[in-house]
Amino acid sequence: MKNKILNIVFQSFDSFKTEVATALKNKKKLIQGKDEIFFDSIPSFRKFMTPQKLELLSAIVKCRPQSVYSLANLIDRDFAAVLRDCVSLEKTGFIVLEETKNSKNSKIPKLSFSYHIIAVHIPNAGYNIEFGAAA
Amino acid sequence: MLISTMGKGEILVDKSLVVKQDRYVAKIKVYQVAKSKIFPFGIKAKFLLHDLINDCARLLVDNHEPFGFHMHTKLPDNPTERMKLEVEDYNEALQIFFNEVERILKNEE
Repeated sequence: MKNKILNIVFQSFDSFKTEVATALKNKKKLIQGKDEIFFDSIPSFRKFMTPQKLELLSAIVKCRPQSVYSLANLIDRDFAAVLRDCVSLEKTGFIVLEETKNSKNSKIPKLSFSYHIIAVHIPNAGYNIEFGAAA
Repeated sequence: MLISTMGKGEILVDKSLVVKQDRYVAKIKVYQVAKSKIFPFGIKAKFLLHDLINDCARLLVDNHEPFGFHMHTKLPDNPTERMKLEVEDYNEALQIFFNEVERILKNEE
């Protein structure tokens, strides 16, 4: 089975502005792939992807928790902090928080798609850094 | 190629960028819709700057009915406060959004 990859790509805000404005002006399609997440710089990604968030992703893959609360218990962290990290990972496209219809309205944290590797594409370096998600 | 329509028309632009370290994500979503009184440009747009730390919208420019292009100027405290944008077209609305994002990012340096 081929490993699915989530690609971390870097693009400056100026380049983002130009790309979007040009697409819109020319009414040309510009649709980000679900396997891509864009950061404006390497420091942005480094600050965002804390060891806690990586641990959280790993626990989601390995333990498939049925709620954010059980995820917090699994990794022995404060629920509010885990929820904050989950929301942040969701808003950027690393995970989804799937609604449930149970009485607690809990949300199931899942990978945004079943990726096995997070590949960080370092600009102008000619190589990538990969994190195994072990899905 | 799968084209998402979601009952809003055909998607034209769907792009996002995490900016200012881990603080914000800028999300641009534009649908091409039938030209109408509500959407005279045939464009339905949502330009959003989302605050990742506080999980709330920080800035939003959109043109949902019954308004034309407008900016939500008092987010996150007052989501109903809107300022109508007197723009010639959607490109101008996008520029206003980008200028405002830059102002927000600069003010936080």
